[in-house]
Amino acid sequence: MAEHSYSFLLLFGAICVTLFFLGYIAKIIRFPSIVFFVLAGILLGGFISGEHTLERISELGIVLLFFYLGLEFKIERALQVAKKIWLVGLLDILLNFALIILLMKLLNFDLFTAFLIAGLSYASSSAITTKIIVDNKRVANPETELILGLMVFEDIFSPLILAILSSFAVTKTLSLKVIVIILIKVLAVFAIFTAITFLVRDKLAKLIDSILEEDIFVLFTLGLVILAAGITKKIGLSEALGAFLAGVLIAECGKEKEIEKYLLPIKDLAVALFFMIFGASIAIGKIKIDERLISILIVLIAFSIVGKFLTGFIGGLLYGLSKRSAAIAGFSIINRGEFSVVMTKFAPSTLLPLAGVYVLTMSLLGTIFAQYAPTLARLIFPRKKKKKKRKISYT
Amino acid sequence: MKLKEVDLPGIGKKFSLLTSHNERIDVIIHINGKREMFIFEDADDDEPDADVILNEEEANQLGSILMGVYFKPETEKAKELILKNLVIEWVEVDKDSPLANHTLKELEIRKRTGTTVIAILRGKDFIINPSPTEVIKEGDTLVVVGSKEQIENFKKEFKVKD
Repeated sequence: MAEHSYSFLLLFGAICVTLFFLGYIAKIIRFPSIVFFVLAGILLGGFISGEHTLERISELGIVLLFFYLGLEFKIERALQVAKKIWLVGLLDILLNFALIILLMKLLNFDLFTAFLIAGLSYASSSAITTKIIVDNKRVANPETELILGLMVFEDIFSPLILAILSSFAVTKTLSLKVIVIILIKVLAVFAIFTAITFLVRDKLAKLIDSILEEDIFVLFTLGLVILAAGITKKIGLSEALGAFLAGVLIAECGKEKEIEKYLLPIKDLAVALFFMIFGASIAIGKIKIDERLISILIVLIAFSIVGKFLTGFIGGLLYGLSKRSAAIAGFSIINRGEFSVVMTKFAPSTLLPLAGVYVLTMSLLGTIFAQYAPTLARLIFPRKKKKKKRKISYT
Repeated sequence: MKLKEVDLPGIGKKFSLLTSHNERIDVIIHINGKREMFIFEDADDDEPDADVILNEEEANQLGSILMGVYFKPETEKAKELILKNLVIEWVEVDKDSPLANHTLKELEIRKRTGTTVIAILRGKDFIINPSPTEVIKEGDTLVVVGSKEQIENFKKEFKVKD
């Protein structure tokens, strides 16, 4: 036993240091760290196969990822955003989710797999997009409001897709009855959640204030989140939904700032491990990628790029943006990242290589598209010559 | 003038100020406290013409300058009014004065009392507009400017005998 725990510490330490170095390289060359974490998993795959402790810790990755999305989410504010964005949000679902289901059905996949692949291709990576917008000082640009609004829309739709997928993963067949049951469950969870929120909001805020400085605070918050995640998982609606709602509950108390600080290190660790374990699972699969899968991958990537661009572009025009700004919006949201990795939890091992290559390709290509979005948009819609007193160049 | 406020989920809040010259200033307050300012020479432009990043302290400083804390342009009439209320006081620094052997900066005279030391009389020397690092010595005479109330504050704060 003693020997075993020693080697675990060694492994865990070595993995953290490796992830740190790769993350550091990512920072220097300004690429999303998710790519490097997944690559680390692929490289280290052999060393960590069968390390259940690491896998367990990495499960917290999904939970905390969705908890943090929930923290950013206030019901009232979300409704305001939704008023302006719902049309673009629907277009997004249509082009990047519904259309992909249809496409995969046409390619002779069963409904579950089609649904899974559509989940893979649905959401852009809000981490990648937001970071590039801030780093490139595009925060004040007109398309930014639309892009961030759409990210919020995807944040709430993604846990729903996960909830459906996780019920679906058990039954594997889709009938009207199954859909109705899932919907009833989701509605019940939302109703209970809303009731809890309004009942305990003020008391919870007071409680948080009184234990904020105590050493037991982390136990309270982490306990609340993981328990909520555990409950929704137990009733077959995936841990993401519970974690997300726990985040919303905290945000509704107005205590999101305080809690954000406390769990951030745990979240960063768990998410990094989660991406790495995903990478490792691809290597463990060791399944030959056959030609059919490659051609499906290429079709999927093509649809993913065009679908998201059109979402941003048409959505942008509907939103009242200029053609150029709409095109910038389109190019900025092509990337995929953390959400796609989360969806792979339900993927059968035969599909994991496809999912892995897809996520890596889309996060890299998407980063490049987002980085050069203004330049690309200007190529398509040249700007009118205008006398300028000062000029800023974008790189 | 028109002010618009927009939430930027995950980033912070954006305030857009449309000026009477049809220029636009966007201020973004990030969740982490960083401030960003973008200037659009034409309010309808897609891309800003200039941008500045400020930390919280710098933003507060800029804000108070814009509010006219340090210098407030007044019309002639207002100037006369100010002159009526303006008091110039000559303060002698004796041995046990709390002012002695401290720099102007340490004493935070403006912050604590609202008055300004515009000159120091030291023997035959007359130091006009003393620098903040100037050490006040025993026997100096300070020339202090402020409103009546501010001068009263000054006297109370630094225990100046009448």
